[in-house]
Amino acid sequence: MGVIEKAPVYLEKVPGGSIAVTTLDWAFNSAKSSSMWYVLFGLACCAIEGLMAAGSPRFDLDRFGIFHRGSPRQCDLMIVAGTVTLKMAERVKTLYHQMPEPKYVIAMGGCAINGGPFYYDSYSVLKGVDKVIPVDVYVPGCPPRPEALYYGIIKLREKIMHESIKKAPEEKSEPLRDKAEA
Amino acid sequence: MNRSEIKQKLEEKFSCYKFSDDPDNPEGIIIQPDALLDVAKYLVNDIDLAFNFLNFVTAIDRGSKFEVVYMLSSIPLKHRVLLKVAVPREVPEIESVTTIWPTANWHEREAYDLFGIKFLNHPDLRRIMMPDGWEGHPLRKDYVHENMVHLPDMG
Ligand code: SF4
Repeated sequence: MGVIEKAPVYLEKVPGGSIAVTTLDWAFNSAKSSSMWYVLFGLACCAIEGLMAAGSPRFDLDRFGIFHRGSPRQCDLMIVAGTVTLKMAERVKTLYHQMPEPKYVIAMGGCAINGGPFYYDSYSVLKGVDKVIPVDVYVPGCPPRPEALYYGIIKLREKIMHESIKKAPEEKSEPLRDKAEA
Repeated sequence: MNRSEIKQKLEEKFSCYKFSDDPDNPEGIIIQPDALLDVAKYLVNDIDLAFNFLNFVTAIDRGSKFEVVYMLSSIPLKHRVLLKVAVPREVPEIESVTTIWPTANWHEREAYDLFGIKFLNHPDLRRIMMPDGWEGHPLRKDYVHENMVHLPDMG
């Protein structure tokens, strides 16, 4: 679904093979979805078992055009992998606001989705990162396998391909519900 | 030196204090709160004891009282001992041992944060794990928090 695979198909139709006609949406969406750089948000075991394994040569996240960056200011994607405590939730929110638009969030693992194994009897764990930042794709598992993370990333790409520049994405910066400050 | 030799040595040195066995831990020695600093200084400085390493400081909630636990090791002499001090729940106060083992600084902050034990003469007694402004001390047995959803009975 990337530009590399699609471009020859489009170009062949045009005599001479050097002009392509497409929509702006498709061009923008391809650019957005083909090289998502993600901010490493490793908070607990998911970061090691799933996220770091996914980036390792054996599974190789780079083939999707995805690299991790140290700074949220260079990132399009935040993969929240691990247990978000109430104290960390403020930092998650700060780093999310530091990312430039367009930005996407994947909540990876049970902990980031709803507190996971710490849902019961825990005073310190936020019950889902979607309480402080908007989440695009949820990847369940404890921890999810790297393949599951890839599936989530591919789903996110599909979601991006359906966006349109005519309809500006609704302002996503404001948190949906804000329980971390309570 | 094993535990009973250490205890015997302490009893000979400090006849004014009481040292007792710990029913919960065969390694432990229970000492009185006011004996803590004297005993600690002696444990570091005596040439046959030389407890120069503090593994950890922590606390246990026993209902009516807290037990503050000190695990000590001697790196040159390769022996260790567990000290326990009981403090009352109403006034959970104990002298800080940071002047003797600087390691104790953060460990005592942790015990303060999670159990609410006040370490007197501690250089910087603030919360270390919970956010600033948190109310209560979460590892106390009677702690309740709105976030704590009780696990339903599956039986
Ligand atoms: S979902 Fe499971 S593996 Fe992932 S951070 Fe939570 S406890 Fe660890």
